[in-house]
Amino acid sequence: MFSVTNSPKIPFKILLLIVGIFFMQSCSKDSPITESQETETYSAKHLTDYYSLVCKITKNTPGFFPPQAARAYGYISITNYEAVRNGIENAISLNTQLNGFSNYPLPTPQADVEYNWAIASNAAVAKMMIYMYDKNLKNEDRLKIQDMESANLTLLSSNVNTNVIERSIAFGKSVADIIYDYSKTDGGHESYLAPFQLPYTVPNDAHCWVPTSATVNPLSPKWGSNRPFLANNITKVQPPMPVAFSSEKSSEFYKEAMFVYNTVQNNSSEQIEIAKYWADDPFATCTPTGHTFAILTQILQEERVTLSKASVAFARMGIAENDAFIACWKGKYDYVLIRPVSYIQRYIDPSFKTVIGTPPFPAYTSGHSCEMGAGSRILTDMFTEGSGDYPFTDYSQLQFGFAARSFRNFDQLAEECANSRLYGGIHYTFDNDKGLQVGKAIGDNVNKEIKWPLFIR
Amino acid sequence: MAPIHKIIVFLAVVILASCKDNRQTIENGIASFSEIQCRAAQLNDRRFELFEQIRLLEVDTISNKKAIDSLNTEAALIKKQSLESADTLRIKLADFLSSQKFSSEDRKYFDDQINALVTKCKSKK
Repeated sequence: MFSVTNSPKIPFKILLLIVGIFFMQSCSKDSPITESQETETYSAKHLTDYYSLVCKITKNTPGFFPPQAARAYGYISITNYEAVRNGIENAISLNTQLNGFSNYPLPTPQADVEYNWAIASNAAVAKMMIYMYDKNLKNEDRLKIQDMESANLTLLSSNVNTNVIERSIAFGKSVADIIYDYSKTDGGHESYLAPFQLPYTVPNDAHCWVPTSATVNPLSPKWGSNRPFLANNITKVQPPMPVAFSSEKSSEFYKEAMFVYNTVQNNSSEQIEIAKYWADDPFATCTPTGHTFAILTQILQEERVTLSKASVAFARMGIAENDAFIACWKGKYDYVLIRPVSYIQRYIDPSFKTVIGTPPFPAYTSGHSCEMGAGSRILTDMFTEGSGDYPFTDYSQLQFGFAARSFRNFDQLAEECANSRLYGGIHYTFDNDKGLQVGKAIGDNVNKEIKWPLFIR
Repeated sequence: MAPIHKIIVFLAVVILASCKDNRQTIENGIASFSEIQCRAAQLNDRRFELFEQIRLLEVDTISNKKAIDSLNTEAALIKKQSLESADTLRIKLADFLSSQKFSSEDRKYFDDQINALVTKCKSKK
């Protein structure tokens, strides 16, 4: 039998204190305390939907040429990453890893309270999209962003505590605010308002770019001095000098131009289709970066990845694309090289016509090759597990009336994209080859220099 | 026929039937958006034609101003129509491709069929 007389007695005051603490805890605002779920427990659907909208808005917003578009994609992508990365195991903030970013401390989630990272992502991306296209954003597109944010929130908020919803939205928006402040100092802030960055005088030399269309000024001549996300992407990755200019028929340069000329004269219908496919599209392109993001979005959807892997993939791609355009544009205005069409009409055949329009900026190196070179390294690292193989069909341009194109791997994709500029008659082969090299080096830097979380789904 | 042979024949019939089913699903799927896919292909052709015409006229923007302005007006309309059809088509394609689990052979069949459709639409002009 139990002896009642021997049981220990709890002093009344201590008992009162314990009961008091219990009541105080149960009355706190965030009761009951629940842990935030990991980012990988959420679907990536709202995020991939946003990137489809970014493409559409890029097409529709004046001033978004390839460099401006790459920058917008870049900042939107790192904003989303920072909004969700507290929910990804072992994910280190980019705040300490990107060039000049640590001067803009990001908000820290409160300890011991719950966040919904999908809701934070939804709020952050919507706000950053408006910031990036802001002054040229058409009202209909502003409404599309707001409608998407609202529709996503309704879906994501099901069975979520109101305090968690409000806290997550506030966190996501404060991340966007800080990253927008960071973006203002990179040299590209609101560049869509004056993308030609005048005044700029093209050097007057036989080897130099001259207008190839009604657009008499070259695009964004100062873009190469923008701040990259990784300093090494500019300091350690620059193309060598291009082939030495000469109008002599025996020169290497003349031979390169002749090669472009002969290619265009003898293009197969397949090569013409390839030139148009990667062009990307007159009047309605979301630029080469948009095409690469569309490919990434398709892969993420096919692989049915979670918000965790999608966020890392978009961040990697966004950083690589932004920096690829800065490095590429630096080379373009360091060398200001004449386009094949101008050289050929001057020295080979005055009636020469390209397959697609020559864009208004110098030749060396090719922007498409730089950006797709960078993109191919990100895709290879994220999806091929080292083998490099990834049979893949790009369906992203079916909606614009192109046929689908299939590839064995991302190297082949990048090669075709680079060659398309030769078939189009708008780049020398060395523009494409060196552009691919620069891009791939940038992609590798982004993969290796940044500490990305491992084993994400 | 030995029981094992019966099983093999049965399995072969099931596999063949399921292949045929997927092909039928793909053909039905493509048929459901063939009209809008054709429209997208034709708008694509028209965009390139317009761009080419404007490019050629731009050698003399002063003399050709009226013609360029007129083509630009049409280009704006074509762009709007293209973006609208692209929106509808993108959603239909994504829904179709995510609604089924297709094998790599099925995907190849889909690619061939959709590309044949695009080619046919472009030649219809």
